[in-house]
Amino acid sequence: MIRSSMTMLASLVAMTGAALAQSASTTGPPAAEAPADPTPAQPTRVGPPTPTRPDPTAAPAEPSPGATTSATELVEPAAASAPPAFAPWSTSRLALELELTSHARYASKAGTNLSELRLDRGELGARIALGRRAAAELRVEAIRSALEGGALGIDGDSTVIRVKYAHVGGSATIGPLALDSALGFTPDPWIRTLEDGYPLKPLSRTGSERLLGWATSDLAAVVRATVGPARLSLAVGNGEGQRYPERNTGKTTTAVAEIVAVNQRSLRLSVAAVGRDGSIGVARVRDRRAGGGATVITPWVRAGAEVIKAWGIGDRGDAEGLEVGGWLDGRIVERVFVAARGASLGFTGGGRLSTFGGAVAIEPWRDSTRGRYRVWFALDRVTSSGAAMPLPGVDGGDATLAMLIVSAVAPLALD
Amino acid sequence: MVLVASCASPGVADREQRILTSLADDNYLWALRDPALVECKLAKMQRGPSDWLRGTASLFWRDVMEPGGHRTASAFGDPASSRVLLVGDPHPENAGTFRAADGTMIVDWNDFDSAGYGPFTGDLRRLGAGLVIAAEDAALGAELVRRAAAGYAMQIAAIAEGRPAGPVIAGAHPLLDDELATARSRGDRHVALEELAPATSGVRALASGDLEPVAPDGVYEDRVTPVAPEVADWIDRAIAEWRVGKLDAGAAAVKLRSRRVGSGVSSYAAYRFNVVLEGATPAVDDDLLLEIKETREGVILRGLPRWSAAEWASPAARSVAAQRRLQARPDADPLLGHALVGGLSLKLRHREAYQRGVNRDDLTALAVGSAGDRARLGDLAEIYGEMLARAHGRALTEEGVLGATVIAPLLAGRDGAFVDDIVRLATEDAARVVADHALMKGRELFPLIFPEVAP
Repeated sequence: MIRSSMTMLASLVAMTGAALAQSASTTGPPAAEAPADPTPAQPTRVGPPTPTRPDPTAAPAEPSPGATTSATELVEPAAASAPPAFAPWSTSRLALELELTSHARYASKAGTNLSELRLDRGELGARIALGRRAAAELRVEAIRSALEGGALGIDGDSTVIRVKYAHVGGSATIGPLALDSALGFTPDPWIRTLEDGYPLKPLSRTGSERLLGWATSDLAAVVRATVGPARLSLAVGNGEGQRYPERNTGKTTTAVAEIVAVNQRSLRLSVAAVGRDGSIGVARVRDRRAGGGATVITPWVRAGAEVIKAWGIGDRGDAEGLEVGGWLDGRIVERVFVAARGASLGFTGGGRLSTFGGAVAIEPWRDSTRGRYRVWFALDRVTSSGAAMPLPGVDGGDATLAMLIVSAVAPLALD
Repeated sequence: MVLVASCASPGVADREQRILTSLADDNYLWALRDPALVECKLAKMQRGPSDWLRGTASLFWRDVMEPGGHRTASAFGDPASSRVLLVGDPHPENAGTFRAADGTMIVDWNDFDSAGYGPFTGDLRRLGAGLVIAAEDAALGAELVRRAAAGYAMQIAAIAEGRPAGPVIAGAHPLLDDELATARSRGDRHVALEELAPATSGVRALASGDLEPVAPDGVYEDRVTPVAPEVADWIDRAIAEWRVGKLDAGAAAVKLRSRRVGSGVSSYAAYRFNVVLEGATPAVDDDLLLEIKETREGVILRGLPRWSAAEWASPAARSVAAQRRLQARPDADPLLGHALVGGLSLKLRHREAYQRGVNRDDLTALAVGSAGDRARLGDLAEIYGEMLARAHGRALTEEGVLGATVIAPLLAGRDGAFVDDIVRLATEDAARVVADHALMKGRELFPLIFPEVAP
């Protein structure tokens, strides 16, 4: 069965290669890294030609199930040497990952309330090593085939699979400098940086993605350089994300600088800055961003924040705004977590879009190398004001959502 | 070098960018399929502000509903009245005549391509902007909007009080009387059928070619072409799906098929097929002429919480359902229906000359005519307002209540302020349309919007 899977994957990689050959003139980013990982061991996430690490987007680091440990032990600074600031290049021959999130949600709003079941996220990724210094990755995701509120997609409005990542990358080491790169449909370096330490993906996309419409991947080339606790990522791409091929002659450049200021087993503090300049669409609508973020990881609590100034939002070149977001995920007792998150986009011209939420999650099963699943009970509040209202002065489109969420991340690595 | 290229700032103004982006989104699939027709559409839009207005309903709704730019707040509305069933594009030329199932001739809205749920003020603003542009005079335009808004408010109040709101029939207005009489006369003589497929010695044959000369700007005004076998198969499948409950198989037998190009502005590049059906008997004088038109998504109004998918199974199903709910007579077109052929969502309607749209030239003639003519144009604007109110007021909203019940309380006792509000907003909307047209007039739009498709 593994052999047939390998054959299928080889076919996928071959297809990816063909796709890359077609888009050879474009450029894009490499895989993101994980947050501080105390034990960089087996890969648990199929990433771009990226170092692998155990469960980056998971809850606060914790021992594997069954281990007898106490809170005191968990927060105790490790006696051993500090883990590497960024996970090293993975040498796993094959890494797979399945990520699923399903929602049962009830939306309370003006007028008739809504209730629905939905697949919020369904992704499958595969990364195959090509020797010791190169790898290919393909990751697909499930999306609805029609516009939101639309009627006709593929065979009605079916859920369909589209490419999220598809790239080939390589790595090299020159003294203390570790270089890696990728070309193809590559993860956006900023979104990847945010998500690597972000365990609340089942609850909500990051503020950058949700409010600013920041694409999670792009046809791009990415180069990344790591020296000790510092890393610089540079992506040059179409800027159109996954929805369109290139539609103008300009390229979009995204640079992300990260520094792991504190890197201990009991505490990891990283800060990042991002700058982006480019254009989208046939009209070359400006797509400029500047900002930063920080992530703190301890065995019991994770938290993060981001602040982004945007010039040009969506297809409005004249729109400017400041997006501020933050999140917190804490383990209150074994396998029980509480989470809170919020993001707000204030338009320079007036008006604000905000989304805030909280959740309680139970993690019935978790294995540091084989995955985990969680059941969430979440509340989300969406509001708008002023000129950011769907109908200025009339309707803010405000809604409160109560959600039962089931999420799972299932990695598999073969060496 | 890459960095330099990436740092190049957009070289066009924000508004121009927004227009180009909207046009690109609206026409992307058509441009890949039929670039020549999209070029014609863009050329047609550039002829004047009125055509520009007709081709940019999507941009209008983006401007009304999308945050980020300058938008004037309305003082009238609430969440409930933001989910009224809308015509979507109720400009003055999107009204026309119909012959209902019992033979009654009526005037009503005739284009529901953009229909869907949204704020009632948006529809009224769209109508008002169309009236201002048709007036070609600011003062007259404002007066027309005032009459339309007043008529709207009065009719909504009447519906809310339970008074009947019937269709517009003969006697309502001299211009409409002329339209109704002409439509009946031409329909009874099967003018549309005879023009497309004249009968000679008991046999009909398709009149292919340009039924009207190609315009100086290269736009096909009315071109008829035969269809390929594959397309003929689409048509036959659409007819087979549509006819159930309307015609038996014999009456729905397809005699002739053609593609027709030249109608409309916004949907200029859409597939339009004309089909001649056998009718009740083998004789040619009861043959039926249908139009099969490709229908796409209506206006997507973002930001309002709603189901992620529409309540209708296809765009044509939406358009047909909206037409029946928004028109005064649900049987205004007894042959109205829809079909789905592969990924093509098709709307079918009676194409005989009973259906005839209000002509812009007739409106212009009144606008530039005598004081009496302008007064009559004002009367017509009021009828438009009443007609829109009847459509909104009698249809169920997305929440399942009568539109009048959510609109009337907002206007009660505030008619004057409401009229002022609509006049202000519609005048601004019209000014934007005129400015947009001036910005884009004479430009080679197609290569700007679709550089990868342009030759």
